Amino acid sequence: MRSFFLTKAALLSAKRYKIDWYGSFLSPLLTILPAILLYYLGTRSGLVHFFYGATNTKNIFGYLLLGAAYWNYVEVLWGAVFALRYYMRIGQIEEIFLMPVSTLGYIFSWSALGLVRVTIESIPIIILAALSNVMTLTISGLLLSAAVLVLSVAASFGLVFTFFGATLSFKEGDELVSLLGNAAPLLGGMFFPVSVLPKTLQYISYAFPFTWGLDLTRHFLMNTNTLLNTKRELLVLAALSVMYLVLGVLSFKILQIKARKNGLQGF
Amino acid sequence: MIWLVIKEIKIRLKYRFVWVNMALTPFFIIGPYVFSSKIAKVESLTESVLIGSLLWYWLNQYFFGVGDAFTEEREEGALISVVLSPVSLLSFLFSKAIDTFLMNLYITFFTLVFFWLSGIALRISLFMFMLLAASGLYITFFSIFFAALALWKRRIGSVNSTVQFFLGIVSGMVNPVENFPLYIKFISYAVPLTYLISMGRKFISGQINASEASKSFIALTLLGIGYLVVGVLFLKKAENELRKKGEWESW
Repeated sequence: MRSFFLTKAALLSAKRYKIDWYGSFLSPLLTILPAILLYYLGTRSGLVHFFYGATNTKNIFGYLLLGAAYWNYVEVLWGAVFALRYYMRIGQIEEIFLMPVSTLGYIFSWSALGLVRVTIESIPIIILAALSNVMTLTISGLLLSAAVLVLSVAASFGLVFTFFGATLSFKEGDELVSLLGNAAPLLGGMFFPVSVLPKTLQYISYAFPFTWGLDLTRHFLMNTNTLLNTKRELLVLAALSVMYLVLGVLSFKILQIKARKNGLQGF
Repeated sequence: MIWLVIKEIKIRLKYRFVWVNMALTPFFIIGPYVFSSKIAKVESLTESVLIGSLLWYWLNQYFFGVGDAFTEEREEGALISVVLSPVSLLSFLFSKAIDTFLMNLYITFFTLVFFWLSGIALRISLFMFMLLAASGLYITFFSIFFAALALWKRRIGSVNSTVQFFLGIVSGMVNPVENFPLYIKFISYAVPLTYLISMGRKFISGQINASEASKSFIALTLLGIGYLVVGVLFLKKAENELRKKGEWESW
């Protein structure tokens, strides 16, 4: 209950600064716009032809929009780690941990704020993605892609727990989140199928549940090609999500105990 | 000013993982655009996107390092100390610019190594180094303008990333601005990055000559000085207003 009040407080603060919302509203669209321009203006160079061969769709706009919407939801949870680091930087971390709210309560309240924000901010891209994929949308596809998103969010929480614990212990956990957040769109296939990447990067990308999650989401909503057989891919995603979540909770517990034992002061 | 630069580097040296992050992140940020262009298997297109997005990444770093220089100090409650110290706000911003330049050289080295390992090589020469150094100077002028705006209108820093993407797109980071409609070109040529990307592309395709390069540099210099003058005026205005109202700590 206390973490719900924290979420409410954070939402009320967020409401005060409207300009923050404009930036978040436009950023996902601006991130994919260079790639859209590249494909649109690069038709003669063979980009679109290759894209169709690799994905089974010529709807590059819809492909990129779905990628951006999916990543918005997966990545936003990691904001909890930046929130923690922010309180460390402004010297309020000790006060935060003296409050009668558990660490998990903080994680959930900061993540819930992120989920509410991203849902509001993603409205334009979700509408555009739905409109551009209207020909391939089905009820079963929507339900299956919602299930894939739930699994992906569970895996994302696993990473949040690990990074939160790491930040409490080593202080620089936010750098790790920032690196992963920047690497994920390339490694997870937000812009193009991961088969385009050099082999070494492909192997790294297969270790992320989000690569499989995004691939399946696009398949269910756009009928694109998948990396593996759909059933196998669902199994891989489920197994990776459970593994990330379990490892995340375990590492969080260990790292939190270590941090409380050694003290949190200093950053 | 040089002591401020040393201070910045010393602080950063304390955080080892920041260096790993800085070495890897640019590759991942500009990688999607570069690899998207690689799909076509046209080498010149990939090189063109790489140089455009690399120069755009330099702008990003200046916008965070210089353009957003006051935000972090303000949040930590240290801005008042900066104002009380015997260093002008402009010198403070230039020290951030020198620090950003050094970081950008570090970043560029690793980015090019990672792309080279991925089979994408960019020809590095003295001209390219001069272009990057010039980019540092002119984008610093441009970032000072943004820093002044951020000092004046506090929350403008929160649209920093959005502004960076917008500037990258209109400057032709992936597509030459010649392909844009006239009204976008009008905006493009008001952004210094457009001239730098255009020169970089012409150089790697071997189409640049001395007279064209000097024309671009003259246009770039005039534009850069224009932004610097307006930026300094804004900075003074914002500083005077903050001193009068005593709002250095509020954000």
